[in-house]
Amino acid sequence: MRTRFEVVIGACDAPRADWDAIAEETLDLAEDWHARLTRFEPGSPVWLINERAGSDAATPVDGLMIELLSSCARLVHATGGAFDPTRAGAMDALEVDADAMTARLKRPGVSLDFGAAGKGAALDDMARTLRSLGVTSALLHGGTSGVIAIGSAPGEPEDADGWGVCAGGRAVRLRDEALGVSAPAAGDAAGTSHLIDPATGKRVSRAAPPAALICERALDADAWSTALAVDPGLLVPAGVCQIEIEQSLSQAAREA
Amino acid sequence: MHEPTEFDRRSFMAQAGAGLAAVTLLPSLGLARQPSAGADIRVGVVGAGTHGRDVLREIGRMEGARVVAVCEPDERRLRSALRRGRGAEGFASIEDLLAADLIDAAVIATPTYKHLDTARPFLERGMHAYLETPLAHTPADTIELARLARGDRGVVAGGLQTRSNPVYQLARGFARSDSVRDVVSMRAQHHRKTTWRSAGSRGPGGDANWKLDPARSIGLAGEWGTQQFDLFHWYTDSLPTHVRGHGSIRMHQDGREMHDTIACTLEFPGGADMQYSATIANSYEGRYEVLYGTNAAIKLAWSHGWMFKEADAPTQGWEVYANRQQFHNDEGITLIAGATQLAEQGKLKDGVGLPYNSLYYNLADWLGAIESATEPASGVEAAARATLVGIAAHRAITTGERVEIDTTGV
Repeated sequence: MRTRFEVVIGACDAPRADWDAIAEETLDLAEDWHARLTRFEPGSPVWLINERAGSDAATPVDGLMIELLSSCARLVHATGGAFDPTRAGAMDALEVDADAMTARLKRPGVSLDFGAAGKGAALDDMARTLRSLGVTSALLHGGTSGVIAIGSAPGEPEDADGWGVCAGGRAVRLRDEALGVSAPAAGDAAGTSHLIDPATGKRVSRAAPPAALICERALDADAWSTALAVDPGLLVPAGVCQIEIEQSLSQAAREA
Repeated sequence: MHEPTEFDRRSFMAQAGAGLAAVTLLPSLGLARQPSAGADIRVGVVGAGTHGRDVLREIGRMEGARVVAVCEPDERRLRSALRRGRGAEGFASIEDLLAADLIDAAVIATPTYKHLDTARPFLERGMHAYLETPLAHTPADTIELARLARGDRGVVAGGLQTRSNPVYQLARGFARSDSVRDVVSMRAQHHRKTTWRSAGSRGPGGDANWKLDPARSIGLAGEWGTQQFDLFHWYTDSLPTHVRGHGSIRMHQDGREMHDTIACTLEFPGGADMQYSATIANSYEGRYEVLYGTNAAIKLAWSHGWMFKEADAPTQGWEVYANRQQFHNDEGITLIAGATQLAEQGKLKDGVGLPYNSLYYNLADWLGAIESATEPASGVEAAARATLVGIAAHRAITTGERVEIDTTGV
C-alpha cells in the first residue's frame, strides 16, 4: 500500500517480552492486505479481477476479500456513490459469488482501486488481531490518515476517554474507535488531487475542504472521509461523527 | 533473388536469437505446474499460526483447490483462520478432522517440533500431504517422517520451495551448463530484523516462543538455512560432508539462549565450500543465494534471478536480446522464466520478477501432482536430507565443533 503502518502497544495480557512479537504479527497483516489489494503487482486478486474485466473468468478470493467487497457495496449505497472503489459509478459491474468465493467485473474497462478503504480494512484486521492477542491498549495508524485506538493511553485510568490524536490542528480523543482523514490538497506536484469524483470522473479540486470522521471501524471512517471530500454536502448517518477541521490540514498537506 | 534489407536482417537476428534462447531455456524451464480449474481438491490446513495463514492465502488464490477444513486447538487462531478461509469447517483436533472425512489432502503447518506427530495420522492413512521443511527438529523424527512418506501412499511433498520456483528451475539449467562452468564457491544469507518471538498459543501445550527453546528449535541454521542449503544440493547433485560454524547474540539480550546471528561453512565434495550467514538483528539485502562459477555467477533472490558473466566467458546468441540490470560495477542478465514466449510477444520486461511467491508455486505444484498422480517437484527424501544438513549445521554452531553430516537412513 506504499504506506507506513505503526503500532504502539500500551497494555497487554501477554508477558512484556512478547509485545514486540505481537506488534510484528500485527504489522505482517499490512503486507498480507497489500498482497490482496495491490493493483500493480501481477497475480494479486485485485490485479487479476481488473485484468479479467469483461471476461467470463471469475477470480478466486478469500473470506476477508468477500467481506471487504460486501462492505464496500454497502458503503457505496450509503454514500450515494461518492465513495466508489470502481471510481466510475460502476459497482453494478462487480459480481461477487460468496459461495464459490470468487469475484468478477462484468464489463471491460472497469477496475477496482480501494485506495484509503484498503488501508482501513487492513487497520480493522490488525486491531482485531491485537485484541485477540490480549492487547487492551494500543494505537495504530496507516499513513497517519487512518487511525485506530484501543482502550485508553498508558498511564491513564482505564475509564479515561481514550488516546489523544491531533487531526488537522484539532485535538480529538479516540477510544475503541477509528479516525479517517481525507485531504484533497494532498495531491501531486501538478496541482491535482488524488481523489476522483465517481459521478464526473474528474479529479476533485485541491481547494476542496478536508474531511475527518470518527467511526467504529477504520474501513467506514476511510470510506466516509473520502466520500465527504468528494461531496462535502453529504449527510453522515448515525454512528459516524464528523469533525470540523480547518483548511490548515490542506495547507499542511500542501507543505508536506 | 531477393537481397535481405537491413530490416530483414534485424528481424532474422531477432528470430534467430529467440530460437537459440528456446534451445537454451526451455529444457530447464519446467513450466510451473498447478491444478486445473476442475480438479476441486479439498484441502485441510493443520495449524493456523502465521504460516497457516500464508497457506490459506495462497490456496485461496488458486483455482482447482479449496480449503474446506482448518484444524487448530487455539480458538483465537482458528476463528481468525476461518474468516480467511470462508466456508471452511473448523476442528480443534486431528482426530475430529479425520473423523469428518472431509479432505483429500492436508497441509501440515504446525511448528517444526510437532511435524512428526501432526503428520503421522495422515501419512499412515496414505493421504496426500504437504510437509514443511525443515521436516523435524531431530534426526530420528526426520528419518521416521521420510519412512512414513515412502511406499503405498498419496502424493507427499517436502516443502522445498526453491524446487518449484520457475526462476530457480530456469537458473538450474545455467548452473549445470557451460554458462557457469566449474563451481568455485557458494554463498547464501538470510537477514531479517525480527524478534523471532511468537505471539502463539500460551498455557498448557502452548507453542509460544518455541523457536527460542533449545529443546524444540534448530535455530536459524535449521529453520531458515535448510531451504537455502537444499538449493546447492539440488544444483550440484551433491551433499556437504562436514559443517563448521559459530553464532552469538548481537542484539536480543533478553535472556534467550538461541543465537540471533550465525555463520557456517558447508564443505562439499571436491573442495567447493558454501558460506552461510543469518541474522535477526539486521535486514540488509534480505535473503539470497549466489553460485560462483568460472564463467559466471548466478544470484537468486526468490522472485528474481540474475547471471553475471565473466569477461572471458563465451557469448551466447540470445544474450543480445536479454534484459539487464546494473548492480554497482556489475551488470546482471535478468533470468526470466518463460523468456522465449515473452520475447516473441515483445513483453520480455514484463517477465522480470515472479507474480507469485515461492510458497504459492510449491503448493500449486503439489496440488498439480495430486491431480496428475505424479511426483511433486519437492520430494520428501530431498527434504529429509536437507533437514539433516540443517540440524548438523545447528549442532556445529552451538558446539563450535566441525560436524560430520550423516544422511544415512533417508
